[in-house]
Amino acid sequence: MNAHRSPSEEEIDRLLASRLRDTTPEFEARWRDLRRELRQTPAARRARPSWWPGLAAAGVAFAAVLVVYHPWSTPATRPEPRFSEDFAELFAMDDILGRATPLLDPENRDALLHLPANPSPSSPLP
Amino acid sequence: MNSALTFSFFNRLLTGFLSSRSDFAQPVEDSSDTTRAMLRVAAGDDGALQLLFDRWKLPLLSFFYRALGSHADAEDLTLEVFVRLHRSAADYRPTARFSTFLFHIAHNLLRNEYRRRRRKPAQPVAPESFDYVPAEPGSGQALAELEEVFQRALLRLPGKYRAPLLLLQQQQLDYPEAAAVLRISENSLRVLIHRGRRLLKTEMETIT
Repeated sequence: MNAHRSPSEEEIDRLLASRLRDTTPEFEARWRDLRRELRQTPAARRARPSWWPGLAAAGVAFAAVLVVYHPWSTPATRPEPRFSEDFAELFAMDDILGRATPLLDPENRDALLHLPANPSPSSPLP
Repeated sequence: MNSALTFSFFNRLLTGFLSSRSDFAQPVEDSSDTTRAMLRVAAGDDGALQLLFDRWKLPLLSFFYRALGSHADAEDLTLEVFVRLHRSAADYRPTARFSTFLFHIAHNLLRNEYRRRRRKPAQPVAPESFDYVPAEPGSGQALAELEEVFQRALLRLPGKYRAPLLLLQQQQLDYPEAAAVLRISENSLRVLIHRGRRLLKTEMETIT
């Protein structure tokens, strides 16, 4: 190369595009050895770690729990029922009667409860 | 020489045929023998691995030699590419051109080598080893000198310029493919190529 000549663009292109013609016998021998080793270790699909199925199952179970229980949605607080003061007497009476002994035995009480409220006039009187 | 020219021709043909593909992430119909061979390697076909080696050993050796300036290191890394290729064959999916996959491995190895080596003496090969220099000894003295200057200048370039220049011009990858290998945008690649060529020329002028 001329010591004072700047390389042309074509020269740079050609140099950059150049490739080696051949390999060396030593390289080919190394490849044969390597190929022999690779033959003994067949290409295997990358193994997933042994804990992978357990982790996947735990994830699915956790998702199911979330879906079922919705822990992120807080239940609406039910307001305390407020009653009119007019009912106070009724509630007091209910408390007293709740503790009272039934006047009728259970069989007669059920029978009375199932009697029609408005008996038909055609029913024979005793 | 003939085999190199034939390879270059088919590589250009294949590149042109597939150049309409723009989306790297999408599966492509790669009808090349290399892709089929890779699938056969995954199935345990030893002959397919040899096919891949015969097809790609010189492009890889040339790439690593130009990038590192050491023939011994270039041979080591070329063999390492085939070890990794074999190891990843079972997981290989032809979602991009095979050359993109191959030079992605090669570029990763090259970056590791850049990090590993502080300063290693260059181990130049004889200029006649390259396909553009006449094989007859003494017939291309000027070209042999040019080769020496070029390789020295190339090694003076920062590594970030070397790989893009080689992928595009030596390996004949197109811009989208080279950008995918380097994991950079096409615009960044164009900037690197422009600056790299300018620097290379300056270095060659300085050395001469």
